[in-house]
Amino acid sequence: MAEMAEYKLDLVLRFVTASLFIITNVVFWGAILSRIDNIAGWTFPQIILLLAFIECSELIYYTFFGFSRWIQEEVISGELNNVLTKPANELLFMWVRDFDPIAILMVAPYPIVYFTAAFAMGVEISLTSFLFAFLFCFFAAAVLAIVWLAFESLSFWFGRTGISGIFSSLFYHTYNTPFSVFPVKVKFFISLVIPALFFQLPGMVALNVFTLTELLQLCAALFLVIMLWAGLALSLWKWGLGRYEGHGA
Amino acid sequence: MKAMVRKVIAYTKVLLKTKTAYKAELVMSLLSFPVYLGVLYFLWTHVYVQTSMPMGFESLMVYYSLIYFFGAIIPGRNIFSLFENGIRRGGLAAQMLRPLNLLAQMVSRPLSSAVFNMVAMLPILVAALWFFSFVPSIVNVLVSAWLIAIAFFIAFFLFCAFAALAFWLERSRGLLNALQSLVKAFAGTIVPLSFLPGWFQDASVYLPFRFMASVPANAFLGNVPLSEVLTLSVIGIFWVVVTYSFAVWVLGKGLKRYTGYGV
Repeated sequence: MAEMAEYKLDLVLRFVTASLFIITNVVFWGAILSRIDNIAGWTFPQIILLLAFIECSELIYYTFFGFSRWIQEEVISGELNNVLTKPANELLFMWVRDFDPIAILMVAPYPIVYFTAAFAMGVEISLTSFLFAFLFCFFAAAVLAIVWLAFESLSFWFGRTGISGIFSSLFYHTYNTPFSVFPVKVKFFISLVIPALFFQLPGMVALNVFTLTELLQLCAALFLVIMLWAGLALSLWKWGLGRYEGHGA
Repeated sequence: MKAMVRKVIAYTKVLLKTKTAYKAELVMSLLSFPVYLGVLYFLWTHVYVQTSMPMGFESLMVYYSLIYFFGAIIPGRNIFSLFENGIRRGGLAAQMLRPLNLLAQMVSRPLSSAVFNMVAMLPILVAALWFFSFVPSIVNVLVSAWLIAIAFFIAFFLFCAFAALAFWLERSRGLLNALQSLVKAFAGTIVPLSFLPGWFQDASVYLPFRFMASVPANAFLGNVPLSEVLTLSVIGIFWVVVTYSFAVWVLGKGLKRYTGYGV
């Protein structure tokens, strides 16, 4: 924190950058939605709200679960040795160690500006819906961490494979495009293989897109997906860790 | 000058060999290309069934294919990070000992990446052109290639100049992101500039960013009359000179500071 605070100008620039980044997104959606009323059911203000919640999920991910993105580097560089010497569960240790409160400072301008823009455009959501949606942001961030863990754990076998890069690319190309524009097969892929859908759920929940029954059904289906990924991620991690020790010996 | 060009080419060849060793990066870039196009395809399909736009759907998809392809050729984040890291971590000192001008050394990296990415991504670009039934004329391809060469140097000098500000800022990631956002908006990489309001298009004319995407892509699509190519080339070269002068000036000032630290 103190280290980052030394670079005050850079911090200021990051805030300016957030606004510029948002302007570029608004330019994109504005170019489309200035000519049509909605895209696959999403109006301009609703898309801005959707993006606000996506940024919220990202903020939570980078703050609380950022550790999952650096496992490959730790395995390859051998820095994982330091983690293994600690008298605590490795994942738990890395989770706490990489808790990054500065990420809140870095990423917070994004959702704040988006929310302000969405509300200024006339989007109305109740406080309950907002809080419920915010809860889903935590859920989305945790899912992303689990999936990252699975992909990054492959580095125990293959080193720097780029598989997590492929996942990242798939994820970042799809997560901020309204889910409803995709055909059914693509939607299925996005829900199961990359958790892009999870990042859009908070926005959908906030806008009451689902009835209670639909939401419960969706949660049940997503719970199964998460269990599947959590099982895969932890198995790969444990299995890979054994292999890593083997290498180290 | 000849000797320096020969050195740059030799160094580029060495870097190209290193680049081919990282096959994972190649796979990643190759996979990203169709994913990027696929997402935009589904998105814009929804738009085009409801309304007409200043550019036909197939042309727009070809435009985006070109934007991705050019994006892999034109320097950006990578050269910035490389330079910034060199300044912050001291790697620049080792580079300064080499018998080659610093900018000339620097240009070898994006040059090798450009050659590598161009060869790797060309089949996907060709497949995209075939999929969207677009056959470019040889003249348009050549004009586009010429404009891309200009764009390469504008982007290279611009990102180097901004990265060199790290001599003063120590951390300049924010600056990079700000620059990238500006480039994205005004280069026409998000949407073609013709889709944007008039004032936005007017502003982009006075900035160098449109050369990094919109101008060469439109030339490829045949939207730039041959009579305008000369004018565009002159403006492009003007921006190369301006960005080069800026980069040399910032680098000169910064290097004095850097050696001061080292002593």
